[in-house]
Amino acid sequence: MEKVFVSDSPHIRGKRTTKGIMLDVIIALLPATIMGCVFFGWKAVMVLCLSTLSAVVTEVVYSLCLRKNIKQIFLDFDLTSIVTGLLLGLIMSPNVKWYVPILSAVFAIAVVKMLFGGTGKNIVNPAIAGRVFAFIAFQATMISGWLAPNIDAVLPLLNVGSASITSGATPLGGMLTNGLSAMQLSNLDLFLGTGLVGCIGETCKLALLIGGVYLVIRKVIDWKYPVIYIVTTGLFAVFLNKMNWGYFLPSILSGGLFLGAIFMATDYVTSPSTTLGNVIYFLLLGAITAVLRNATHIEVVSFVILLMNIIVPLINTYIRPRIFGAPSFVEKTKLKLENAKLASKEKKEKKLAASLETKQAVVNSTSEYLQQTVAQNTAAIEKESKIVTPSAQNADKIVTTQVATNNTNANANAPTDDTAKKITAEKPAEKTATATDKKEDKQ
Amino acid sequence: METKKGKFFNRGVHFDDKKYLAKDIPIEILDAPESVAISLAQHIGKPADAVVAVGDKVLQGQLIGKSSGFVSANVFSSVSGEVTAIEKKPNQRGQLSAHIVIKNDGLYTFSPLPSMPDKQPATIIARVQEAGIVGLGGAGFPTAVKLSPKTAVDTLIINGAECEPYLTCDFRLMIEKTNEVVQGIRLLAKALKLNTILVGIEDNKPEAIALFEKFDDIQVVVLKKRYPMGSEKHLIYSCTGRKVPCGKLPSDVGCVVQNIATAFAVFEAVELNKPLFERTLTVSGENVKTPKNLLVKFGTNFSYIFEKCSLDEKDLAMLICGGPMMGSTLIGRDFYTKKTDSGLLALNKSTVALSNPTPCINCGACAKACPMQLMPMTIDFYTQAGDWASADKFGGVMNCIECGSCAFVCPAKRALIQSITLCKAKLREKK
Repeated sequence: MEKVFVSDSPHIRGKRTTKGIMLDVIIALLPATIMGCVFFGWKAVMVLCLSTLSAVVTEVVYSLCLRKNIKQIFLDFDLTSIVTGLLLGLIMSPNVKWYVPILSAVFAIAVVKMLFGGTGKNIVNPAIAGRVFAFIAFQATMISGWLAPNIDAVLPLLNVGSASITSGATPLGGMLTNGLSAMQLSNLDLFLGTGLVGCIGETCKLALLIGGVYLVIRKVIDWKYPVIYIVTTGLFAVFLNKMNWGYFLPSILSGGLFLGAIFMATDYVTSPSTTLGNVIYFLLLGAITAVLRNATHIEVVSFVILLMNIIVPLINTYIRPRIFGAPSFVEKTKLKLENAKLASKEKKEKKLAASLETKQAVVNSTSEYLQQTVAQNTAAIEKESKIVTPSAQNADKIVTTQVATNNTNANANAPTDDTAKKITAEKPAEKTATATDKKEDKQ
Repeated sequence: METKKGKFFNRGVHFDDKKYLAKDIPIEILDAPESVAISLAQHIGKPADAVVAVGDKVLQGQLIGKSSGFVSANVFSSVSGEVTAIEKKPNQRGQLSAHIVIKNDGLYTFSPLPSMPDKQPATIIARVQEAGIVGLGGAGFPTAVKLSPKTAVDTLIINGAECEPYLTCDFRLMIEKTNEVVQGIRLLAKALKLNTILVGIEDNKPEAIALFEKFDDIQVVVLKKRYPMGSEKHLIYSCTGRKVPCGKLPSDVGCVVQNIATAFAVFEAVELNKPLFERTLTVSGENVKTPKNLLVKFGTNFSYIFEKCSLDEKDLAMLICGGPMMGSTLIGRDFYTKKTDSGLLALNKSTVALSNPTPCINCGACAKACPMQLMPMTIDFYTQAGDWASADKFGGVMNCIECGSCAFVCPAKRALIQSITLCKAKLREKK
């Protein structure tokens, strides 16, 4: 027997693998990770290490519990748990207690990902779910006690004059509660993350942008989607604040919007798979984020992504590409309209034909009867003596015929024998002509 | 006539076509081995009925299998010699069919078909049917049936796209036998009683484009290199802008598509009175030391062909009959050339896809690549669940042309085409 492989077509494949994509995401996250560590020091490093490690360990332990052998676990390991753990660490405050990243990583991997069937089967983004879990379970440590960034370390490098460091509240929270005037930081500070408190990975927008550009170049994500999300949020913020364009940049540059838009919402598993579906998904994300930010005065990006993740199956079911050769929506409606037109035309024609038939029948029966009466009358006239005065009799009969014709018009299909009976022998053709004319007018 | 640019569809996949391996090698006539085994099921439809018996002496070009229905085709002997056996043998897809084994006497005594009285359309169609010509692009649908469409047609499209990687036999035919191919195309147009002839050629074959431009009655359509440009529906769209509606035939939009090799076969049958008993075939791949374009007689054993092209056994991973995207892998070499075989490939381990499927991550790459704009991941999802009806409703599986673009781009290396063929078979069973 020959030693060759047998497979189903195609026998050649593209080079891209799931592992490769995940590696790209990790590389794209590196700038933000490094900047987070620079800004927030060892505490941030600890949080990131704890969350990543516990995510990986949870996955391995879960797989062991499923009686998979170690070799298989190693082969199946596709770096997704590292991405989840790293992202989870990046969306945590650097000042959290040590057990918070561990517990939320365990929750994210064990409950949100593995319980639903592992990679590709989770219905919500595990990292986001982990953060929301921590947000609810350890509220005190998550939203208060923000750590001020150690900008002395980077100030000489960046050469930016920094405003006073707001410690305790994120600038976004301040802006949402107290308006634009309460904003103490410039847009550049917001962009670079200097003097900004917040989660480890979300402060330096420049680093996140570099990561995003890398992902776009590697064709892991489409540049359109994060842009749609960010711009929509900005526009809605402007719209909700009485068209004050000053809100545009601060609202897109603060909070976790960049991190959410570039790395969280674009997660393959929990975003729609078609272009149109994605556009709708990201537009809705942007709109809901801006509206909820305005209403609740807290950072809602993670909650909004969680919410939208849940309706992705709905989008995937109803928004599908049009099959090549299938009629488009416009064509379909056109076809429907044309069919309706044709149908109504046919109906009209049928009606017309039917009415014409009845008219013909009327004419036929009338003329037949008249011919008979003419024959009878002539016979009678021939037989009897000519004493009758024709003019007076005629006038009487015209009146009666007209009345009778009106009656027939009221019920078009009624037999017209009665009418015909009253028409005189002298002027048959004229009378019937007026009768049919009147009918046609009515119809 | 001036060339025109074909419409581009932003789907499908783009890859290295690897045509440089055999592109510049002229067609070589390969003599048949000592004995050939000619299958009676070389086409779509009913197998032909054997009309010779063991011990009969046959000539090259003699009828040995008679067409047994409307969708069926005649089979002719490719060598002269003696019939030694009629037995059932498997083809490369594992289907058993009767093969007529003929011992080659090495003389190739040729017995032509009777010469044609005239060249009226009906006569040409009759000759095409008589000569056993089927679509040589791969489907193997009897050409005579295609030449008598039920609806009025106004355009003949010749498929010179050859979008499968490695394969170059149609390209070689186009540049070596240009006049013959063009005459064949004209005969096809005459049979269909139409004047508009379009020849679609991908832009990676500039030599062929330059040669075909010279003819006044033929319009060359330059197609952008993209897989699957040679798919019937997409070729029609690129050349004419017409879209074949779902579930309809090309003739419903007034088009008939024929292959370059088919046109050449029609020329031979009409002008040279030669039935179809040989075809060009590309032998290529990284593990073939001397890639060749061969004129192979039907019934030639694959191992004989590989021997002539000196196979490199080191790191040999896969033997493929047809192209790497839609062809089928061979479990051995003991199979016999048929009308529909356009290539024999030997690929090494670095080229072929040998990874195990991993879970779908819903990236949507397959939906973006699908030239029919279906949702392969949805089809796969419902097929795995055994819900065939939903696979058709939400994924549109019955419109699939099985080009393999989705599986090519899949990062999770899922066996999408396998799911699709399974689902299609189950849905057909239901009907």
